[in-house]
Amino acid sequence: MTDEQVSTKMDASSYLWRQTESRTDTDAFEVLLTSLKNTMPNTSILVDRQSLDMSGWGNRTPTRDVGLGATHHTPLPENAPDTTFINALSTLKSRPLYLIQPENAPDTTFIDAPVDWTYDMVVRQPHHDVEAITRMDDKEVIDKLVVSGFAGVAERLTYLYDVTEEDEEAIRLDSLRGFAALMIKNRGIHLPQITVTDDGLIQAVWKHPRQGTLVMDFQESGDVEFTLLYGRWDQGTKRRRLSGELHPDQAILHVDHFVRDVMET
Amino acid sequence: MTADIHNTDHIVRCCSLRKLEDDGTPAPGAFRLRDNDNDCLSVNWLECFGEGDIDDNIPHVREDLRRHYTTKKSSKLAVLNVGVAKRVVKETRNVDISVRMDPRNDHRSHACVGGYATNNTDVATTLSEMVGKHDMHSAV
Repeated sequence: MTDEQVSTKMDASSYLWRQTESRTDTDAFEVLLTSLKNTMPNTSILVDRQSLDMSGWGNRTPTRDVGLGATHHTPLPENAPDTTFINALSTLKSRPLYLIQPENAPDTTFIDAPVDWTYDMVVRQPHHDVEAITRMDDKEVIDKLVVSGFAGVAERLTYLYDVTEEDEEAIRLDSLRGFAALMIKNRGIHLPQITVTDDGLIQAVWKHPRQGTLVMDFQESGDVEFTLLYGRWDQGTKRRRLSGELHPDQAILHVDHFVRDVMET
Repeated sequence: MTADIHNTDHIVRCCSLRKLEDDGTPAPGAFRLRDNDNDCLSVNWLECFGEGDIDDNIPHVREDLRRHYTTKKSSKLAVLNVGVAKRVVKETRNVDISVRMDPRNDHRSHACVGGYATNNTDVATTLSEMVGKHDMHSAV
């Protein structure tokens, strides 16, 4: 583990695998994730074996036994969910974890939760909803945030449009689209501070009083330029840093992995 | 005259409204060096106007800014102690930033923060973290 890491393009699933394999649910980790609450990628569902069986999927879904590293592939049922993901909670601490990868499943169905289901279940916006954002103008994007349950974010963005002066760069539409897509795709994510850079890019900032600051600039390319400074600024010690320019989904995975790594060392 | 500003002195960064977070403190973007900044983040040297305290000298900075820029009503001034800023950036990022006087014509309180790379987010983030709500003042 080095003090400095610069992220490069990597396969997100390999990062997910590694982070799940080395999962350590410490209190401190959970505290950290108050700033980046939902660490699960939207394309996958993380559940334990018992829940898989209870849901009736145990023998029907392609799963990867994360704990043992074994991979099982069985045909997907027609009603396998594509619009749902589960935010795994601390109840998973001591159980083997299974990764369901439903990207090939139809997107019109949902999962019926067992009576004693113990996880947060969040309906993910259908993928085409997020794709549609790439064709929206700024007002439509903000309206989309409202109907997606992000009225506060929409209000803040409207405010930022209102206070932009004539001599300042206009807010870049593709940057706004990228930010909105991240919020809608990652509904459990903690709301960041939202500001605008000199270049007109949306800048999202997550600050945690003890564990550091994460900054994401939403580029017009669709990637995010991100920097995580881990630890407090006023402790008189060098802070670990992770930075890079990646697709937002991958950036979240890298940040999550980095934080877990730091927690373990 | 481009001498270092003493560590006990203070600098002020004028921040536009859209670079302020909800609590009124600056986001990292307020301290990021841009390509056209020529390695100089423009700030104002507070003690340029005398030995008074921060509250005494802020009005002078406002006046100096008003004479040289179209300062927006909504802009805010973020105050940083020079020595603390240099020490914290050195300790946490191992970067030696410079804080130097850079008077321009009759804009005598103008100063530069430099020594870090254009578009560097590390130092900008660290500087922004150091500014608390009590360090913010109206720009007009």
